[in-house]
Amino acid sequence: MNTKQINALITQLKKIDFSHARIKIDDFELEIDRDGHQQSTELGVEFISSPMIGIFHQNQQPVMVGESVESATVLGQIESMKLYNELLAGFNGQVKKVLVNDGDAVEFGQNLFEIELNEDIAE
Amino acid sequence: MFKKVLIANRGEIACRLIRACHQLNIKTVAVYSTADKNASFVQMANEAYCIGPATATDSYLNREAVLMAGIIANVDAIHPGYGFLSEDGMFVQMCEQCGIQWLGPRSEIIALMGDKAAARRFAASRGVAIIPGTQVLDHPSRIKQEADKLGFPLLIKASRGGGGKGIKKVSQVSELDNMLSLAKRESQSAFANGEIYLEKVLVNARHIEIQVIGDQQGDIQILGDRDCTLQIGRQKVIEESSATFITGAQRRELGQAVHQLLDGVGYQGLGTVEFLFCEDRFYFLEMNTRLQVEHGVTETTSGLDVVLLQLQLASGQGKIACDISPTHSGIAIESRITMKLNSQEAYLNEFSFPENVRVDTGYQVGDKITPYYDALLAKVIVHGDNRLDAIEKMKQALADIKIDGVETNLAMLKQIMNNRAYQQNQFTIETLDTGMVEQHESLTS
Repeated sequence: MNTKQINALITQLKKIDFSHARIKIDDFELEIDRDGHQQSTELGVEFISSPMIGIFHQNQQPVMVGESVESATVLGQIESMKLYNELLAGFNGQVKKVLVNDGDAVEFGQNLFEIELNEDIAE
Repeated sequence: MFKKVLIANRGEIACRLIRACHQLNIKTVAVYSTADKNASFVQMANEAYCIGPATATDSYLNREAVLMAGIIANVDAIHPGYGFLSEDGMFVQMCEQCGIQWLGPRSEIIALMGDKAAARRFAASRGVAIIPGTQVLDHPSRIKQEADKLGFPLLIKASRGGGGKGIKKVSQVSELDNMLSLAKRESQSAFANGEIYLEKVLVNARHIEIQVIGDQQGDIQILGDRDCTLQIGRQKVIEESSATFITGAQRRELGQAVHQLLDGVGYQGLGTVEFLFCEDRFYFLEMNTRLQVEHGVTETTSGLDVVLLQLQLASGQGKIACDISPTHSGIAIESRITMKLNSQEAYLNEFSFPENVRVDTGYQVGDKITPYYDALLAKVIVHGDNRLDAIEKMKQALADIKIDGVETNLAMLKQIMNNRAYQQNQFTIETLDTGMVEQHESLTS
């Protein structure tokens, strides 16, 4: 399995309620633990969290509350060791909250945006 | 003195390092994985940053993430503790490039000693006896030839191994081919390097190691020695300071070997030179260029706090020779309390220790045990006037420890303390593996 396929699998898994999963496909084995606190409590709402520790940089046109985003929309950049890493929305929906300011130091797993999912995806 | 230090570690050693920093009014920064967010060391530090998920490769071994925390928190120095990035030459270079002081020796020395075959060559070039064996070998025919010359049993060692990892014992020639491919494969996957070399098995050997410290000028001083002979599967279980199986003359001989090895090298910070002792001779085993798990026994008998000393010397305060004069009184024994790591969730329902002994732990009662890291639960250190007195105190201490919620090696430790061969100081590095006491599998850290 390549990284893309694994990511796709994890995205699918996010929609299912579980705390521990073990998946075996031929030689490929994946074990996932999910932290109960990180699951969004509200249905149809997802938090976009930082995939790494770093400095958050907003876009030239900063993402605003109410804006529509798609999976591939770049929400900003996380700078780590002088490398800029794109933060992708990963979902289709509307920005409900912006939880980070330009130049903030962010930790791994810190929630940065709250996205209200488009209904067809949330179902 | 430093203003702020990042502790690039977790558990008991992170707690111990944070305490030492606070004693010197140094602010501390902890980095942690999601699995450790409620751990003691995170609460103790002045600042804490989550750097990654539970898997160590993505958090505690993630050089960029650890360093980024240091940059964000604006620290002066990084203390690596033991394990994780503590012997990672590349990380040391990255720290240097970011203007953050590394609390340990220069990256070239770490790289030299981290390559166990190169370290052997270096020791031999300085006139220090090494265990009979070979350099890195590649060609199967050459290996066969050298193996025949050395004789069996012999050890196949991974060049990038060390700390008892990456070692395969070959009892007879018929096993050689099979063990060789196994060793190479394992070494490639564990250390990303398939280089191996051969070493003779020293029979009835004891393990003795010398604690050293170097100042900013690179002058080194010996702080004491430790007997770490009692091991299971090459992982230490009981450590003693000072070693009681050598004579004063032999101790001087060892000290001379250590100075021969390190004088003029420019060694800074804490380090341990390990030897095997066999038939009245010492053989260089390896050097660990960092603080070791068992440093506490040396502190107990010398009255020194080696981490405080390291911080002071690294900040440029004080020099070797004029400031430190270790004296050694009595005997200290350390027991490593380890647990069986299960994939299921476990909680420390009960976790209490007697008050009159030193206990180094990163856990407290109620803590959740996760299966991601090492199996060390706590280190218990006692101090006695002599070895038998220390053994009695350890017996008492072990009897007073109450742990519930996880399976531990406590029963085995008690058996060791009651074992006659142990009490009479008659054991070797293989004694525990060959049935000195009953033991449970996989309870070593």
